[in-house]
Amino acid sequence: MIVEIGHYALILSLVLALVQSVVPVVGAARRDPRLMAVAGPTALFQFLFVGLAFAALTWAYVVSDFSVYNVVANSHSQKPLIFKISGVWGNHEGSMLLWVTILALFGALVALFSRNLPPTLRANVLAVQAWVGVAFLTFILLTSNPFERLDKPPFEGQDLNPILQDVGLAIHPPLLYLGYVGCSVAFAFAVAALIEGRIDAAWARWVRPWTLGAWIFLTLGIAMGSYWAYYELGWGGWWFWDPVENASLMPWLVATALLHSAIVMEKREALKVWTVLMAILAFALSLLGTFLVRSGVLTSVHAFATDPARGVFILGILTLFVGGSLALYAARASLLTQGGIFAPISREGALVLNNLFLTAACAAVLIGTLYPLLVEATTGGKISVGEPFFNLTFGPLVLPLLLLLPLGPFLAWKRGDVLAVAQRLWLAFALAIVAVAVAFYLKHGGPVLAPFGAGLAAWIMLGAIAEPMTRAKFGKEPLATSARRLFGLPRSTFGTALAHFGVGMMVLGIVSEGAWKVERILVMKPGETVELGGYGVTFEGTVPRKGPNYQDQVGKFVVSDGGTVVARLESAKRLFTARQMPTSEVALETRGLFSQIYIALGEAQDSGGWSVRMYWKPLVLLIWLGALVMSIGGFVSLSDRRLRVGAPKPARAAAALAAAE
Amino acid sequence: MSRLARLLAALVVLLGLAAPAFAVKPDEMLADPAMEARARAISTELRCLVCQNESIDDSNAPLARDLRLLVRERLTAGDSDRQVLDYLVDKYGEFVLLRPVFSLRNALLWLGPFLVLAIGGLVIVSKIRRRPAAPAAAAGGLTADEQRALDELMKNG
Amino acid sequence: MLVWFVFAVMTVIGVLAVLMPLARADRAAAGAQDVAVYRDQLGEIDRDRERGVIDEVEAVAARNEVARRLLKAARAEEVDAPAALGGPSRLARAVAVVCAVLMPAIAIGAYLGLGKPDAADQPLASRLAAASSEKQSIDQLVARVEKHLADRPEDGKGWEVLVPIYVRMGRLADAETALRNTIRLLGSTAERESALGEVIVYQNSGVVVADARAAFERANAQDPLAVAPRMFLALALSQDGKLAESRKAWVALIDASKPDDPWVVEARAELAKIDAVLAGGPAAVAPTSPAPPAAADKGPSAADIAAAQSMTEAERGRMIEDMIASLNARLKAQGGTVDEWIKLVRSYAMIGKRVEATTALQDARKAFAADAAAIEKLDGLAKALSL
Repeated sequence: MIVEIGHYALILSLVLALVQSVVPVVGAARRDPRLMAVAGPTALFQFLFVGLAFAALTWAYVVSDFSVYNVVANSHSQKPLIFKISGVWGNHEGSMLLWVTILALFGALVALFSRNLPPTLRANVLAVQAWVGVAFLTFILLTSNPFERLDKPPFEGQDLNPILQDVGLAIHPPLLYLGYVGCSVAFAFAVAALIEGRIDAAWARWVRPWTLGAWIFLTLGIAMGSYWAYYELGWGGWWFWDPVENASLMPWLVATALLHSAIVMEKREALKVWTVLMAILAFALSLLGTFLVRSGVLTSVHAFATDPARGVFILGILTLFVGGSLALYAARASLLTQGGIFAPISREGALVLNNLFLTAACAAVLIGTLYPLLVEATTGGKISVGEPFFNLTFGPLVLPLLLLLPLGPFLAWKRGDVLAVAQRLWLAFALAIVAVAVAFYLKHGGPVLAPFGAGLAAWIMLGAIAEPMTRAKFGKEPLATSARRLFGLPRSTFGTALAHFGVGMMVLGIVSEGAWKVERILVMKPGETVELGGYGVTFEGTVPRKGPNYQDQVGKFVVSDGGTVVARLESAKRLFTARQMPTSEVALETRGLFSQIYIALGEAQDSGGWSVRMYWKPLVLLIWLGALVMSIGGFVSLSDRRLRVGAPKPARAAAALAAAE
Repeated sequence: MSRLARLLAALVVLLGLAAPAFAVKPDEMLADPAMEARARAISTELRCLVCQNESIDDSNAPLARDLRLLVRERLTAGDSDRQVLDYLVDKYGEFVLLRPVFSLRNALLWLGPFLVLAIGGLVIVSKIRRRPAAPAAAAGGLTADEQRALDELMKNG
Repeated sequence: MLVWFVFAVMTVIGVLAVLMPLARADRAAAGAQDVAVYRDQLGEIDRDRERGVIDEVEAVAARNEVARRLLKAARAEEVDAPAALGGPSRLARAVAVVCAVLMPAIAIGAYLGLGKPDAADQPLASRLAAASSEKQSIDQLVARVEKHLADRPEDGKGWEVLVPIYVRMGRLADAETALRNTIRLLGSTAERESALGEVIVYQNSGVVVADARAAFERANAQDPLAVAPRMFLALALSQDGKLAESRKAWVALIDASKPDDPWVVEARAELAKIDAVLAGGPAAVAPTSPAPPAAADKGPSAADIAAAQSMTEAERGRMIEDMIASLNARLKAQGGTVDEWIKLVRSYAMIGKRVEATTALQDARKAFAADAAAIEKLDGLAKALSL
C-alpha cells in the first residue's frame, strides 16, 4: 500500500503543479488577490506530495520490496542500509524523482520566504517554477516511472557491486542537484519579470539570495565530486574535463557571473541585458547537463544507461524552456533599458569585465564539450577534445580575471581611481613578488612558470584580505578603532573577502599540485627505500589479510623524515571472494596541513618485488579547502541583513490599510 | 588511511575489461629518463580508444598499454615527438588525439571562445562610446516637486 | 479498499490546498515592497560613503538616481493597487469549481492508467518468513541460502548445495562461482572439477576454453576413468585442430566402454566427423575461428569452387587474386564489417602481399577508430600476422 500511496502522491503532485502553473498567472494578469494567493499553498503541497512519493520509494528500497521494478534493478538485500538509501538516487528514475523533489522544495521555500515580494511577481515566479515541475513530472510519469510494479517479484535484486558503495558517491548527487535545481529559481524570477514587464533594481535585490544559495550548493557539489574522484580514482587526478563534469562547471561559471552582475543591476539598475540573460542561461545549462547525462548522446562513466526516447523527451523540454525564454527575452528587449551611469573604470566596469571573461570561459567549455557531437552529426567523423584543449583555452581566458581580481573590490562605485587602488594594493603586490622569489628559491629546477602561479595566488589572497582591512582603516587609526570599524562592516564585505581568498587558495593548490608533485613508479622489493618529496618511503613487504567478504594482500610502507618514522601506511590489493573481483586500496597520508603522500600497491612481479606507484602532492588539499572557503564566504554574504530588507512589517501594513479604508 | 580505488574498478567492470592493472607499469618505462619523459608527455596527448575520455597515460586498459609500448618503441627507433603522433594518427585517425588538430575544420573549436571574448569586448566598447560624454542631467538635482514627494515618502517609512 | 480511502483523503487535502486561498478573504498585501527596497538603497549609499566605497560627487548622483526610482515605484504602486477586498470575484469562484472537479478527475484518471492499486507491498523480510507450511518456491529457498552464505561465506556445504540448483535455474555464472568456492573450501575432487569444466563450457557455447580444459585435466588426473573429462578433453583437441590426437582419444574412450554405454553413440559420431575431415573434405570450421563466414559476402559459390578445382595452377592464382581485389574495392567504397576487413588482410598476407595487407589494416583501423572491440581484434590480427 505504501508504494501505491507514493505513486498516487506523485500524480497528485503533478495535478497541483498544473494548477500552480495556470491560476497564479491569470491572477497576476488580473490583479486578483485570491487567484494569486493560490500559488503559495499549492507550492507547499506540491512539495509535500512529491516528498511523500520520494519517501515511499525510499521505504521500498530499505525493506527491499522487490515487487517494485526499480528496486529489483538497482538494489540488493545485502547492501548496508545507507547504501540501500543512496541506491534510491543511484539510477535514472530515482534520481529524476530526487530532481523534482528538490525542485518542489525550492518552490516551497520561495513560497515561504517571499513575503517581501510584490504579490504579482511572487505569483508569476511560483507559476514558472511550476511549469518546470509539470514538464519533469510528466516526463517521469510517462517515461521513467520508478513505481512500476512486477507481478512475479524475484527474491533478490540485481545490483550488489561492493565497489560502487561509497559514502562520497552517495552524497555527491543530492548536493549537486541542490545547485543545479537552485538555478531554476533565478530562471523563474527572470521569466516572471519578463512576463510582467517589470525588470528593475528591486528585482535584482530579490533574486540575489536565491542565486547565492544555488551557487553555494553548486560550489560544494562540484568540489565534493572532485575530491571523491581524487581519493577513489587512480593517480590522484581531480579534474578530467569529462563531459559530465563540464556540464556542472558551466552553470557554475554562469551563476558566478550572474551573482556579480546582479549586484550592479541592484545598485545602478544597469546591466539588465546581461543579468537577465545569465539568469536564463544558468538554468538552460543545467537542463543541458541533464540532457547530456541521460540521453545516451555522450558516453561517460557518469552517464546513466538510458534509451534515446527519453533523450528526445528531455531535448524537447530543453528546447521548450530555453527557446521559449529566449524568445520572451527578445520580445521584451525594450524593457531592458539603459540604467544608471557609471564610468568605464569603476567597480561596475570591473564587474562588466568579470562577466565578459566568465562568459568566454564558459563558451570555451561549452564548445569543447559539444564540438565532437557536432562534428559527428555533420560529417560523421570522430574527433576527441580532451584536457590539452581546455588547458589552452580555458586557462588563458581565466588568467586575466585572476590577475584583476584583487582590484575589483577596491574600485569605487560609479567612478574609480586606478591610481588610488594601486596605492592601496602596493603592499599586497610587493608581498606577492616576494612569494614568487621564495618559490623560485625553494623549487629551483621545477617548472619555470610555477613560481609565478604561486605569486598569483598570493596576490589574490593578500588582495582579498587587504580590502576589509583598508575599509577599517588599519594602520591609519588606532588599533581599537580599526577593530571596531572592522566588525561594523557589512557581512557581505567579509563574504566577498572570504570567497576571493578561497579562490586564491584554490589557485595555490592547483599550481602546487600540478607543478611540484613528485611521482615514483617502480618495482620495490621488501626492505627497499625510495625518496619521495623529502621523505623516505620503505616497503616492508606484504601480508595477507582476510575481510568479511574479501581477501587482501596488504603492502606495508613506512614513511620517515630524516631518521624518524612519521607514518605507517598500508596499501592493499583486494579480492572480493564471492565475485572474484580484484581492486586496489590506496594509502593517503596528510602531512603538513595541506599536502599528501599517496601510495598504491600494484602487482606482484616474478622477481619477488611488487610494482608500486606513489606520489608526493604538496598543498593539494588547498584545492578543495579553497572551494569550501568560497562557499563559506557565500554563506556569510547570504546572512547579510541587506538581503532580507523590504519585508513589510505586519503592524505597519495593517495600519496603512486601515488608514486607506 | 586506506581507501579503495573503487570507481577505477567500476570503470573496469563497466567496460568489461580485464582485472585492473596499472597505467604505466615499471616494466614499460624506458631506461633513458629524458626519452621516458617524452613518452609520458606524448602519452598524455593520446586518447585511450577503448575508454571514456582517458589518456593512455592514465588508463589501465590492455590496449592503452599496447599503445604506450608502441609510443616508446617509436621513440627508441628515433622518431621525433611529431613523428610519433603522426604515426598514430595515421593508424587510428584523428580520434586518437586529445588535442584537436589546428585545422580549418576545427577553426570554430579553437577560435570560438576567443571570438566570444572579442565580440563581447566590442559590444562593451561600443556601449561606452555611445554613452553621453558627461553624466547628463539625468543625474542632475531633483526638481522641487520631486524633492517634496521624496520627503513625504521618507517620512512615512 | 483501504488504499482508495487513503487516496481520497490525499485528494481532498490537495483540492483544499487550492480552494482555501480562493475562499479565504486574504489580506491584500500592501504593495510597498519596491519602495522599501529603494529606501534601503538610499541608506546604503550613505553607508557606502562612510566606508569610502563611493566618493561625494558620485554619491549625490547616485542618490538622485535612487530617488527617482523610488518615486517611480511609489507612483506605480498607486496605480497597481490590488483590487479591494470583497467577496471572491466571479473568476475566483469559477476557478474553484473547475479545480474541485478537474483535480480529482485527472488524478484518479491518471492513476487508473498508471498504477496498480491492488499490488500489495512486499518487503523481503516478510516474504522470506512466509509460513513454512506453504510449499516454498525454489527462488525463496535459494534466496534463503544466499542470505545465509552472505553471513558465512566460508560455509562450503552451502555453496555445494546451490550448485545443482543454479544449474537447473540456468544461472551458470553463479554456478561457476559456487563451484569454485566449493572446491576452494571443501577440496578438489574429480566430480567437482568435472562439473566446473562443464559449467564453463556451457557458458562458452560449447567451446572448451583454457579454464575448462584445466579443470578437466585436474579431474582426469584424479580419476582417469571418469568419462566426462575424457570426452571434453577429446573435444578440446579437435577444436584446437589436433585431429589425429583427438581421434586417438575418442578411440581410446570407445574401446574402454561397453557397447551399450550411453555416451558411446555420441563418441562414435564425433569419431566419424573427424574421419571425414581427415579424408580431405572441405576444412571443418572450428568454433574458435575468429572470422565467421560473412553471409553477405559475395564469395565463390559451390560451382565456382568446382570450376576452380579444374583450373591450372596459374589460373587458380589469378582467380583468387581477382576475388581479393574485388573484396578490397567493395570494402573501400562501401565499407563493411570488421570481420570482412580481417578476412581481406588475412587473404593478402596468405598470398604474400604484405604491403597491401598493411595498407588494408591501416584503412580498417581508421574506419573503426571509435569501435573498441574492433580495434582490439585488428590489433590481435596485426600481432598474429606480424604486420
